Amino acid sequence: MFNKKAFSMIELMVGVCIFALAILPIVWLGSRQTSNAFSAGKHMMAGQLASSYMDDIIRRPYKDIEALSLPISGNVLDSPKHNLKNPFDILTLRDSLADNTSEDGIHSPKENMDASFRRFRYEINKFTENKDKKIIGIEVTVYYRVKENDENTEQSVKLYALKHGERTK
Amino acid sequence: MSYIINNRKKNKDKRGNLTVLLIGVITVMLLMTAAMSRRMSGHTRLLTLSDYTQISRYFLESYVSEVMQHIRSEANNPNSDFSKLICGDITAYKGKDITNKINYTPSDELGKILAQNYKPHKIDFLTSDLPLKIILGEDTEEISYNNVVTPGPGREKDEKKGSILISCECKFQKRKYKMEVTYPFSVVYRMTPILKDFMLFVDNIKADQDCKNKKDDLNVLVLDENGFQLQNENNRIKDKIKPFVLLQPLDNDTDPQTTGKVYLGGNTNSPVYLNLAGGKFNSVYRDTDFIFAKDLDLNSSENMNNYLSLLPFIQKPNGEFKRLFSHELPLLHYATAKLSVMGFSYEMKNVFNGCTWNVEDFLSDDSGNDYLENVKIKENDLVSALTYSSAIRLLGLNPVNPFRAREIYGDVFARFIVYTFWQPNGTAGLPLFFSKRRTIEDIPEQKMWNSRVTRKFEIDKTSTEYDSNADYTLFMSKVVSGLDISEKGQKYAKFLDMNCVGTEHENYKEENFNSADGFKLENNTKFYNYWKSWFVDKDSSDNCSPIEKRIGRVYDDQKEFKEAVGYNNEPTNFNINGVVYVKGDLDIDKDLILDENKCSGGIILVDGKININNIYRGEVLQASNFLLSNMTATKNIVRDEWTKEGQKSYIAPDKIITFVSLKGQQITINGNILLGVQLINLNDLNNNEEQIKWGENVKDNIVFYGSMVCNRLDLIKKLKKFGTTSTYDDSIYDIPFFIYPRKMATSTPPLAVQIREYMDDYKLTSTSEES
Repeated sequence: MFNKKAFSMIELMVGVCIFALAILPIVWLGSRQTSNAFSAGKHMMAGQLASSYMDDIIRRPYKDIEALSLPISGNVLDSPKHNLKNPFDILTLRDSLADNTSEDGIHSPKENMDASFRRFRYEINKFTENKDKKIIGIEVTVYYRVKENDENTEQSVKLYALKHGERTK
Repeated sequence: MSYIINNRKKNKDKRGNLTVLLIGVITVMLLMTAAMSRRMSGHTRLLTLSDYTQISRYFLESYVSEVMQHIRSEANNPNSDFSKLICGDITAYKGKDITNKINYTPSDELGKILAQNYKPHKIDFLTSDLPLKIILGEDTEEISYNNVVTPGPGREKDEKKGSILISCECKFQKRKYKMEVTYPFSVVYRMTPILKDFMLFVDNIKADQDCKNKKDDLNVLVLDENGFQLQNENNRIKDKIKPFVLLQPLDNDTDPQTTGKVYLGGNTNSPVYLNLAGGKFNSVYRDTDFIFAKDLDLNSSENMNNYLSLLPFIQKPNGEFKRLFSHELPLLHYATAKLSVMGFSYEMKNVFNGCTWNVEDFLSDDSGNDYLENVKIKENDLVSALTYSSAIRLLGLNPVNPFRAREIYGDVFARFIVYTFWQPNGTAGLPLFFSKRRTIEDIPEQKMWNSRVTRKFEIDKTSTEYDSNADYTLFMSKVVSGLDISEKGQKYAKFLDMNCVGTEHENYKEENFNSADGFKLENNTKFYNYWKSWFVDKDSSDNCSPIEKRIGRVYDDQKEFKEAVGYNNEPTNFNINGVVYVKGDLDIDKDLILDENKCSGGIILVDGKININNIYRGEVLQASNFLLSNMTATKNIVRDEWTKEGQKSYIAPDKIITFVSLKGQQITINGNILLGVQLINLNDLNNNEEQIKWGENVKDNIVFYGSMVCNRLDLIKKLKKFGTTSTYDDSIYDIPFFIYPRKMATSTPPLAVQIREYMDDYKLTSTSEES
């Protein structure tokens, strides 16, 4: 009466359990990887933004930097403060994008961009200054969230550089 | 039995399949896990590397920036090792490490970058195996002169260009990062060669005096016998005017290099004639007195009567330099002819009053003289024609005493009048009047009293002063200027100082140009085309004009320029340090009170209009203190201002500022006092606009301690302006104060080191320490 060729229920259950146990780390790893990749992208973007802010500051004449009232902070999508240039002309880029959501519910590029950058914020500060030697140390920090809605997941990229003024003897 | 055995065997096989299957699945999963893990790890490493590179990059850039800040501060500090090296002959240093000439130590601020939160990682730098290196580029070479000028002896390697390579390294997270950056530099003169030696350089004076077209805006000054400017004389100039007098140094300096040269010329062979001013002879002759309003003394009416009565001529004291204003020409039979040299003056009007002879007796037949002919037509009489003296006085107010040398280049001739009277013994005496009809054979003669004997005008050729070719035609009364004397007569004309060029009396030409720094013009370069050769014409090899090769920095507008030179902060700062180019107009709207330590000279090329205000040196001076009528006070001011701790401290050559209007737009001076400047506007737009002018707001005495270079003077406009800025009276003593800053004629022209703001090459490399 029994089909001796089939697996027993127990065998099947054990098999499924083993498979489930084996697949869980893989699924977890996959999920983690996706999350990490997303996070890495943000980290890289934060690095680029920080670099862009730093380059914008450093290229300015010493006198202008000296006159800046630091710290300056804000969201990267805010209008520029103190004549700071938004990194990569981000606002211009954003404004040039289409903003109408398509009928099938796909977000517009502008909405996508807003979603990508809305949690990015920057802070520019002086970490040191020597007026006699005409040296100002600039610290640029760009913060981002690994999980968009969890402020505890905020991470940052920091860069430091010195700006030197002209000294005449 | 065999059935059972077979079933067991089959079941056993099935169990084996499941095991294999499970093992397979798990293996695949493990492999996938490993791959994913590896991928994640790679991802992380990539991210980390990107971060490290960025951190290291900014650190190294800060490091380079600091080294460059130090180099820049040393570059124009003449006491630094680097400045001495780079301004000297650097041939031996090409491609060599010059780090030990820089004297750099890293700042604490750079250390603070390291102290920031890169923990647990740590940046290392300046370790013994990763030193900073500063290398002089192999590409360093002399800047060429495009065959326009030849540098002076030993100055061939002064101006140069090249690059400085800065190489620095750091270690971060087991990786070495190395940055190599190249900055171009050049070493150039702070003043324009050749032009800097001129107090006044006008390369198309024809615009002010064109003899062929009977235009003469130079000889327009009429002075009365006391040196007062006469107004409305014959309505030639109705406005009050003052002459343009290029004063000599105030401290009896007689070096022709440091008094400032003058060039009045053009590309045609039209000579320039300047009527030497006459004036009443001053019997009280004071060596210390600067103030004489005349180039040549005119005998007063009384003296002229005496002269005509054959009383002895008035003989000037010779002093160190022999300048005769009258001369006795030895004739045969113990006779003499008396030659008197006179300047142009209003006094000519009445100098012959009551005399036996008048002007016409001497000069009426001087019909060969264009000037007399032209002015006679305008003035309707000969005497009035002899009243206009030059309003530009190249040798100062009184070139005679104390005698000052000044080299005057171009076909510039002084014009004066020679009256010759001769009286052999026993005769009544006659003017030796000018006549073109007279030939050498037609020798004038006079009959002796009560005798049939005649005495001819026969020069005593045994006199060592004259050679056998001399004849009387050389000594006829006439209006004399350089070209009116025959070639043969040049030798005899010398005693008349006809060209007023120091003691040599020759027209200075390009080939005779002689400057303290030894710079010469190349054969094809003339003064009149210097502008084109130096500022415009490009060399075929590099498609650059000489000035282009020397530009160290370009400013997009005047705002950028003012910020860079420090003008925006305080009016005491003005650091040019080389040759710079400013796009658009340049409006220096504040007075510059340049502190010696905060001012460094250079050349500012502007392609728009230039407006400048007062330029002081350290302290605001009052223009009213600079008065020729109060020379003692003036000299004291000058001495006080420019003498420090007993040492003469004139405006140093490296503090001189040169403004160049590249496109020929107007340069307007809105201040009364300019100390230590050169103004160049040689790109004539021919628009009837004064090239260099004093603005409407300038109402006090003008003090110009500098050099002016332009195509045309527009002298009449300037004279009228000077007329409005005089404070006291119409005296010629109350005139603008023009002096040449003697240090401009230095034998060692100052150099400026220009390091370009932006780098040429930039290289960041990274290597793993393991590799």
